Amino acid sequence: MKLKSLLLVSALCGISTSTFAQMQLELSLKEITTGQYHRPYTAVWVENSRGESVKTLALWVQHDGHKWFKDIRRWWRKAGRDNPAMVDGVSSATRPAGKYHLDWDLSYDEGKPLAEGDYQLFIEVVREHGGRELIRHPFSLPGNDFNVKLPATSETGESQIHYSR
Amino acid sequence: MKRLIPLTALLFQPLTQAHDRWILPTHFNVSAEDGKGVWISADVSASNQVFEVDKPFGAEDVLIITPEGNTDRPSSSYRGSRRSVFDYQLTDEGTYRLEKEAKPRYFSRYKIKGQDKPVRSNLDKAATHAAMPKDAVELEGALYFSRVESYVTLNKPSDKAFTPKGEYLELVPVTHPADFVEGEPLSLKLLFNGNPAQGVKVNVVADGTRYRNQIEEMSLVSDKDGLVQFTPAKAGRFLLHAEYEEAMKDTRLADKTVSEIFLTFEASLQ
Repeated sequence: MKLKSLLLVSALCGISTSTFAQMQLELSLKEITTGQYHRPYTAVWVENSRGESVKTLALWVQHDGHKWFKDIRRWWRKAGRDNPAMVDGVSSATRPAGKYHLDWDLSYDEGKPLAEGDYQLFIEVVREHGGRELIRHPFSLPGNDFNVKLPATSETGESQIHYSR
Repeated sequence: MKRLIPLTALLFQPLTQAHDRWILPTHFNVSAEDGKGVWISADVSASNQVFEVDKPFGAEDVLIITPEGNTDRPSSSYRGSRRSVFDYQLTDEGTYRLEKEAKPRYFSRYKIKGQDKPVRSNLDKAATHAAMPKDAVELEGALYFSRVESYVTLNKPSDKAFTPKGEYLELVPVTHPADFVEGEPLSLKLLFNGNPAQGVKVNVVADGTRYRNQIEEMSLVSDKDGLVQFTPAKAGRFLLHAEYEEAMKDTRLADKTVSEIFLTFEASLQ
């Protein structure tokens, strides 16, 4: 029953990708033992071909009002400063080093399915007293299934993006 | 008791996780005709990023050591919400030292069974012991001493402002700060209680971390003569942080001394 109505919704929208398509991200935050370590501020989001943010998947930041958001520079410029309601909905505490699994059903922040087109997935990791990394990975919807490895950076371990239609 | 020492050393990592502190003068080297003074201004702030003003670290108590070795005070100062500012007129030829008045302070901390986070105290160990609850454990204390300083030169450089006091950690330039130049090695000497201090950890970071992804710090350790040498790759302003720890012989008030220096300097163009 539920399946049917979902199919109906996607048929009505006409522009959506398959209802079952999804993207999974396995993000690895690196163990860092040098210097003063603070857990990194991390944002994961998707921009369309015009560089507009369409979805924030994760926002891990120290909860101290919105004070530290500006330090996640690109995410703040593209997504955070325009959408306080989304920010409050999605933000959660900083995470220690480790592997994190994120699922995305290819919907916008508002929940409706994403249109076909070219997109980029962004991962921004910023550490107080430490470095910053901005990782980007382009993809197209609907496009073909893929499974890519994102090489390790100074702040992240080897990570993976998996997409299936 | 012996058994406790390595454990203490481990737990002891910074008792206070303090911000960087700095005095950033508008000019490090100025020139003027004989008898004509030159005004300089300086920002005083504490922050987690180099020279990004953040906290109002006061300028009222800044000391100025003149080229003759006298002590002076700023002409005027202002305390803002993100920084303090002071003005000073250089009148004598030579090198001045700008310094935040430094006083030793005790910090202690202990744990309460069943709680993860230690309780911090601004008192020495004995006073903390008297005030803490009966079930407290792992009491540790440190004596902290920090200097925040910078050098400014009018016309011909001089050395008198370098004269150490023989107390805690001190930094004496070997290469004169007015001769710090990009691409050229410079050296500094570190002293503890007046003697060359081996094993002082020194980090140097160039201005502009807000606009680059990596901090790109130089990390050094002083040798047996207390010397460190490094080469600023590019001209610009830098913040140097030196830190030295020593276990105390008499541990009634503190287990160790932690002494640090923040030095702001400029490397000139070739």
